[in-house]
Amino acid sequence: MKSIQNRLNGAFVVITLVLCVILWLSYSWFLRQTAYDFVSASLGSEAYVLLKSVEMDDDGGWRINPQYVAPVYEQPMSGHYFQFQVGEESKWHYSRSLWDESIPLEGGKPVGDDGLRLVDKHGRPWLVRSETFTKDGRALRMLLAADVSHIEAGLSRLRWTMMAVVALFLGVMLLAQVLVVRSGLQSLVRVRGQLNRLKEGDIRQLPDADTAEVEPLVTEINYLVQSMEMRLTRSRNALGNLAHAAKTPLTVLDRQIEALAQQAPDRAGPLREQSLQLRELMERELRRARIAGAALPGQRVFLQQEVDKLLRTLRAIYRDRGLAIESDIASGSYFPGERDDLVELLGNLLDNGCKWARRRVSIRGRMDERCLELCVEDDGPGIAPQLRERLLERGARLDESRAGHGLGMSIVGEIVGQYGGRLTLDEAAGGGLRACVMLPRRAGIDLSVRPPTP
Amino acid sequence: MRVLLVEDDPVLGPELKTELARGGYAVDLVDNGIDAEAAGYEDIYDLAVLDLGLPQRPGLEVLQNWRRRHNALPVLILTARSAWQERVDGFEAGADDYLCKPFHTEELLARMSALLRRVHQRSGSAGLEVEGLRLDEKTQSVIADGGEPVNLTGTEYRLLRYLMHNPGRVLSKLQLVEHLYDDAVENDSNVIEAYVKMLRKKIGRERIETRRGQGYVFRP
Repeated sequence: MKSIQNRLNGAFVVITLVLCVILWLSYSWFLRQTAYDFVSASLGSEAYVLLKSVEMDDDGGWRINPQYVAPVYEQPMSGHYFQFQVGEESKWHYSRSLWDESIPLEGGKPVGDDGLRLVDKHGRPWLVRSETFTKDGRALRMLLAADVSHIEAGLSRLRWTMMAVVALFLGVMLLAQVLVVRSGLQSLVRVRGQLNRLKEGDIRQLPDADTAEVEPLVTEINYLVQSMEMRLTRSRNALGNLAHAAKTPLTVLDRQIEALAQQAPDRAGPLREQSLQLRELMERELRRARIAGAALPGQRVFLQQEVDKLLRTLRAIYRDRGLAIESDIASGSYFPGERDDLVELLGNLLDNGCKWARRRVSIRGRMDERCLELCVEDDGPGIAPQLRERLLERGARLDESRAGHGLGMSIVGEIVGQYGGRLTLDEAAGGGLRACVMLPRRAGIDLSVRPPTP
Repeated sequence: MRVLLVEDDPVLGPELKTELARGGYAVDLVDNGIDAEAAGYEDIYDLAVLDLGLPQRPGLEVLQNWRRRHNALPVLILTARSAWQERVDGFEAGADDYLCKPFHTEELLARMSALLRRVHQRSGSAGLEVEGLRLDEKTQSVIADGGEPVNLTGTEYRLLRYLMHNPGRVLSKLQLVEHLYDDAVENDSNVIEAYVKMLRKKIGRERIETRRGQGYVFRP
């Protein structure tokens, strides 16, 4: 998964780094060039001074009048050198500072204009300028050299200093960038938090965004949540109407079949069978279609209230049985889903319990970090282990005489499956059946596999 | 026992009415919510069988309105809506029982008589029994003090059942007529006298006492 923040910061670092390197390179090139130009200019003016001091000595040779020559040229290895040659003679005249060295006539790296060369002389950089003059009708070739190692040292010192400054600058910029990006993405981060709350059922709608870029996203999500809710309600209503529309004629049909059974039992039998199948199919599919599942975010149904209502209903339905129906719900437990699903789930579990119980049915609800656990126990005859698996199967009935038993369980299984939960059947302490349902509190927690029993 | 049957299906309604009448009830059939609510306020019904999906006014709203106005008419909801949430809503609205379509008439009749027994605080599941007098609702016969079952005619059965549901209460002739016959039948309250007379022959004179100018009292 890519992070916008990391990408923005990464791109910023790369771009700034490239720019800084270019700046640094061009700046140091420019500085060096300036220094060389400066040295070259001083060498040029130096050349004119030297030209003046070149004179013919008494025996027709050429010499430098030391009077005009700067003392640096007199001091050996002072860093300032010259040598010259007059006319066609092959003899070079050297400054004293050269000692027994000479300035290379060729080679080296050309720098700038004016035939300036950078020559490596025993590991020291010399900047060499060559000039050609005409003196008393003769060509005079002059080479001047300056040791620029102090310039190089200065430049490299400057380079390091600059590097440090640039690094510091980069760090500060990056920090500023991170802060800017983070505050810019703040509304996205906020929306992410709100989405989590929506998923957990804390809120039913996202609050309005304060950023123009995020606002359409929030509006769209809210619209989707709302339209999903509306669609669910609508399809529920449509199903209710369909059920009503279909079941009433089915009731009429059943009555006709019963009437027919009085006269011709052998003809009524198959009809009755078909009608029963149709009825069960319809009941099952309608109930299945009603399950909303975990698709809808933003839901939280507090258990106690729903369980209380359901128990009142069951006590009314099973009034004549005189059952003790008890509930033990941890306070604050909630169902992370849709109310009708919860009621359908618990209704079927409790109804099953009530059908089989002798005296007592109980429901227990617990919630921890990961999931909600609901257990319904009865003190009835229970179910043999090998038959429990079958009961979980769709529509399988263990006892035909108590209608709807298997159907109820298969609906329970269906709802639990839609929520990514787990349904287990085992023996209650009193020998009856205990049905436990575990439902994850958030999407992404998978409970469908049985964890290793401790 | 007079029953208000609220069912909008044009086939099921009349058929159910016939079958309930065969089960010994005086039945008035209403096919919409507004008429149903109005009829419920008349103090002549012992029980209402209420469908939920009604034209003009939903059955649940009818029931809620009755209960809001402290109308304690026992109500059995008979509906195609079978989800648990709908059942819970039905009971929370004040229903006394809830039966899902499709259903068998026998089950409806059994639920109705159980509901009536419960309303009149008679416990036990095997028929109506008051101080040695036992009414068999299936065969519509009566057994007095463990003797032989005596068959009753339709009206005798209805009269005796109503009396047994209201022991010790003074019941006027008009009241008896209201609870024994539906709207369709024009009845002179004098026929009640004749039926009381015939019933006395079958269960013993002393059980039904005449209060001059007031009516009859069933003596348990």
